[in-house]
Amino acid sequence: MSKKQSRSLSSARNQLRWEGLQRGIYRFRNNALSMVGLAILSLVLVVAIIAPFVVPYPEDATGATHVMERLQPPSKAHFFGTDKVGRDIFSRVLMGTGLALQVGTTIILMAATIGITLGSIAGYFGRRVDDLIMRITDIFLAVPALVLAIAVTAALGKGITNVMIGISLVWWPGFARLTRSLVISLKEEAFVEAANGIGATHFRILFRHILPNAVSPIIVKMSTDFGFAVLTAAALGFIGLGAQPPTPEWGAMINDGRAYFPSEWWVAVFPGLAIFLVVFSWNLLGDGIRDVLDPRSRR
Amino acid sequence: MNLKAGYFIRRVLLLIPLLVGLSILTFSISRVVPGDPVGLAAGPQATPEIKAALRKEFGLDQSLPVQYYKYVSGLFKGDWGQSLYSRRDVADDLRAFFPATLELTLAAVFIAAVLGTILGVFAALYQNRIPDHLSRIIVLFFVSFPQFWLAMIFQLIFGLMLDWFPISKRLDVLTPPPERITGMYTVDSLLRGDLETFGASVKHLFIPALVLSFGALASITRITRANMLEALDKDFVKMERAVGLPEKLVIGKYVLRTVFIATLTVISLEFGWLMAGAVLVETIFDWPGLGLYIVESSLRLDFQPIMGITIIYGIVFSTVNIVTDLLYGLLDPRIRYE
Amino acid sequence: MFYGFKATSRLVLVAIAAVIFFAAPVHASNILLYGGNQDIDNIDPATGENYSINAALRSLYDALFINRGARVEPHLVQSWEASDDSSVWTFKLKSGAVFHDGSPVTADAVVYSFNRILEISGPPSWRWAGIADANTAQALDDHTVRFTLTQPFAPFIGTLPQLFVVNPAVVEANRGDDFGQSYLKGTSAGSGPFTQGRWEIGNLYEFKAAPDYWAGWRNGSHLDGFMWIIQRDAATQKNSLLAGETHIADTIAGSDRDDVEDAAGKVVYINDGSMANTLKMNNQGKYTSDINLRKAVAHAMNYAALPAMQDIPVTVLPGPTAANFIGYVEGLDIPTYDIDKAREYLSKTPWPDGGISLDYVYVTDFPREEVPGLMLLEGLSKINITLNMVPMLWPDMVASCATPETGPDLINIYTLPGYSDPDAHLYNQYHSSQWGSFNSCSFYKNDKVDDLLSRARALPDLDARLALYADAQRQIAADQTSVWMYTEDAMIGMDECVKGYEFSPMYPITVLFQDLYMEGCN
Repeated sequence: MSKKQSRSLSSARNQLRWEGLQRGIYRFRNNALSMVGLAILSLVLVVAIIAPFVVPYPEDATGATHVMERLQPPSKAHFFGTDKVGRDIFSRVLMGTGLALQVGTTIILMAATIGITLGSIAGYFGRRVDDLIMRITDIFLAVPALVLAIAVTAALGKGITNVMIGISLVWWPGFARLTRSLVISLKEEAFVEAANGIGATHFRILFRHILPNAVSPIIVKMSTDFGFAVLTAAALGFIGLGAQPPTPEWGAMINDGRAYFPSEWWVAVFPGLAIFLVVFSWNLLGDGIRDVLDPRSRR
Repeated sequence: MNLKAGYFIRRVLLLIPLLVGLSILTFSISRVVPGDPVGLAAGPQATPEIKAALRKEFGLDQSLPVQYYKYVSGLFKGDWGQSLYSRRDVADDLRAFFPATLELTLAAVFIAAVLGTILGVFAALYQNRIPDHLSRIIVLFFVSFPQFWLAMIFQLIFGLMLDWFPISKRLDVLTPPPERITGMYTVDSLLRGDLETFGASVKHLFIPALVLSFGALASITRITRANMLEALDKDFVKMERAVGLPEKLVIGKYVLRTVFIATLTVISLEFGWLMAGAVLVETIFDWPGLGLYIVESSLRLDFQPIMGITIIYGIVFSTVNIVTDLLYGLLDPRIRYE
Repeated sequence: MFYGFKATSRLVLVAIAAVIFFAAPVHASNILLYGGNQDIDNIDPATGENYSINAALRSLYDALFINRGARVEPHLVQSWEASDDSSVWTFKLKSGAVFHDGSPVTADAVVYSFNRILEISGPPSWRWAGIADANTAQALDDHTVRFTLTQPFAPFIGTLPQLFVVNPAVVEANRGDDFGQSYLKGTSAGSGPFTQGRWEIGNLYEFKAAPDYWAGWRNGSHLDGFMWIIQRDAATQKNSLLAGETHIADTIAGSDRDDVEDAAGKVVYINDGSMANTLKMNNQGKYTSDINLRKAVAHAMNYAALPAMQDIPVTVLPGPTAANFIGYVEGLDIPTYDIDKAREYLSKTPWPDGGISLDYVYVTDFPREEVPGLMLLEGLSKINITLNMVPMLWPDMVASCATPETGPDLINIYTLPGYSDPDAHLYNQYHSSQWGSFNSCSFYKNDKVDDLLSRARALPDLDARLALYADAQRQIAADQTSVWMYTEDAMIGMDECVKGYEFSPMYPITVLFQDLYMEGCN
């Protein structure tokens, strides 16, 4: 096989991949639940972007307080009621949307980056490197992510950045394991190509030939993990390790509301529903993406 | 058989480097803490002399490797260190709190397995029809709530409004817990033949366990469905059906067994998730377990308990994985171990 | 076979369901059920000290004196005398006091207990640090003990309710290599009105009335025992109290007060507390060393809104000392909420137009400290100063107060005087020798104040001392070392059937269990 042939083989596979994707999109569009998820999520995204311009009391998310309006029940003036210092919960929940999405995205991207890097190194080079990386991965996987995240974040100190770092640091092993197994199964194939190719570096083989074919399962994992990442971040906020006030962080807002629950139920209920909406829509969407990219999981 | 035994011995031996690694990890985390841990133990009015005395007492004046060595050798002797805040032995605390978490988690796994299997089987039997979609929506729905939030809502509905279940704790305060055997009240009360206490503890356990179980419902349902579809597709099942054996019998006798074995792995994986979820559920229901303990310790930066809890989680998690493998082998003789 | 099994299992299920739904809680008549906000971590008098631990220690042990209401009453002590310079104190003990094992409480036991606290030097020892050493306590005979302090200390009696007497024989038998700490942290060795019952860590603690308690009971009737049930949530506490599952709830949220008061047979007691909240400004800090900036900050706080904003009833502080506490000075010049004045003071600083940012440090997840921060944030934003909310875990806060360099610009600190004397809260907050503890996180240093506070603690005459404390406080207020916020009113919810409750500013959150009794509780 010459270099040319190898390239054409590779492009044939790209062609296949493309057709697969088209089939997938077709299946996805026929999946009503995923479409619902996508619709809700688009709405959430829009809200995240326009919130600062449309909410009735944007200053309530950045430091205003109103003595005379503490703990008002939902009304026309305050759709979701007010909290312990008289802030409009509707405004705060909407203003918090962007933060929640940002936190989820950052965690998944950071965790995936670390995990994919370590996983592909382990899978590609094998032997001692593999052993070492996988033993470290095992250690992280031996403790539930939330427990370790609590410990790491507590040690780093409270704050939303530390929450993101803490969760990412315990989230990568899943990606590492997945990537490793994918790389191992694709490696043999790639080595044949590489052996025939001229001057292909390890780097090139890995990024040009192996990883592109491992993308689907990784995307599936990223999309299904997103909801859990948002929930975990909210959990840390709830415990009291999250964003610093007056940042409208949903987990912390639920925690605030706990002292007033159930007599002033609105303080805790609405941020909880907001979290649910984001996670639920992602889970619907993730379920659809899984069907598309990993058809064996559903027939 | 020998091969099998060898495999498990190797698995168990591999636990050792794992736990050493884990202890190094948690120890490093605990020493990253910027604050002065002694401030915690010394109390509000501490003078520098009091603090110095304490630093010495807790061995914090020694070098890190020495501290680590002492900590690890202590672990083997059952001395898991002392909480800086409460001065209690971490080992004693773990002994008190661990069974509570284990009981909650086991109950949740049980509920999730039952509900998940039922939903999964239904989904598969009515593939791509209404029950299938419905089961999918239900599980995605419940797994999407923040558990601590759902716990509050359930506590409100079933505890306060309907008054069907107690709102918190493992037993009413005036009911003395059964004499300790395992530390799990439901198990101990049964072993002691005390049905009344058993009933009371189940009643306390139910709502927290139900809330917790939702965390594992989605994946158990999904895998049961997939395995079920696969099993239904097997030649021998098709054959049985073709021969005209009653549908119920085919499903009940041949399919469910296979499906359950296949699902076992997922259930055990979920065990870890649920044990972590217990952290949040426990704080709502005042359930005196590891979760409540780690949250309180974290907020105080009391790292001796945090280290102990992580190591316990590590041991349990790894053990569950090994036991699952073992069970899997026993239930499905075709499995071979490398 | 198959159906048989099914039928049996159905029967079992029904039986289980029946057991579950008919297992009703039983109420014992004379056991008080107490919802406590905090765990009782440790019951060693030498290492444990906080409100819940102290409540347990008061119940299990006896001390030389006891805080009852606002008074300090002799307890193990029959009579006493002090030298003119307040440095030698001699106490005659009551005869007839016995430990739970029947052995007498002797002067030797007092000496042993005192020295044990000093030697272990745990949290309770701060009271005697610097005024006592291993030679201080001497037993003159079986029932006479003398304390020769290393320097005169007038408020000595006020510290003695914390000197809980342990049974030396029991401690020695379980001494181990840590002076009995491992043993005593979970097991009592005292002579107090109660003994330990069920002891479920992290869950509940049962105390049983000691049979034939040597000191007798204050009221004709007394409890057969009480249970300290840990209920961390104010909402849980309220619900349990209203449902009749507890008799006392020690933490009631302000927003729940009406619910409890309106409920039949429940009552909420509200008293002026002595738990004081202060925003310490770092007097050595980059910005806050400037007195005009400190005054500007103090004028940007909306004090009048505090009672409405806080979730507990509060009384705004009229200066360093609350109006209900000994040593209060009338007519101090204390700032009010006045943005114009704040701006005026700011114009005298090197940052006349603001544009600076200050850190406000407070305990993570503690709304009562977060809310004042949010209020100050709003006030300061009006004079173009940014307040940066920095929630910290408590140990980190304590650590940040170690040196003026690490001390935050502003930090929210609660203080509770350890005894009923101005010395108890002025010395540790404003004497420069106390730098390093979080009480003195304002890093205030004024030689005149140092001198006044040192002299005052050595004088025997109360009026003369109060005059010195008044002078000191005038100076402290003029220097605006801190922003004095409020004292928390103590709020405790009870079933009306609980009798004998008397509020004490020394333990505002809880009760003196030995004085309580129940009448007509179900």
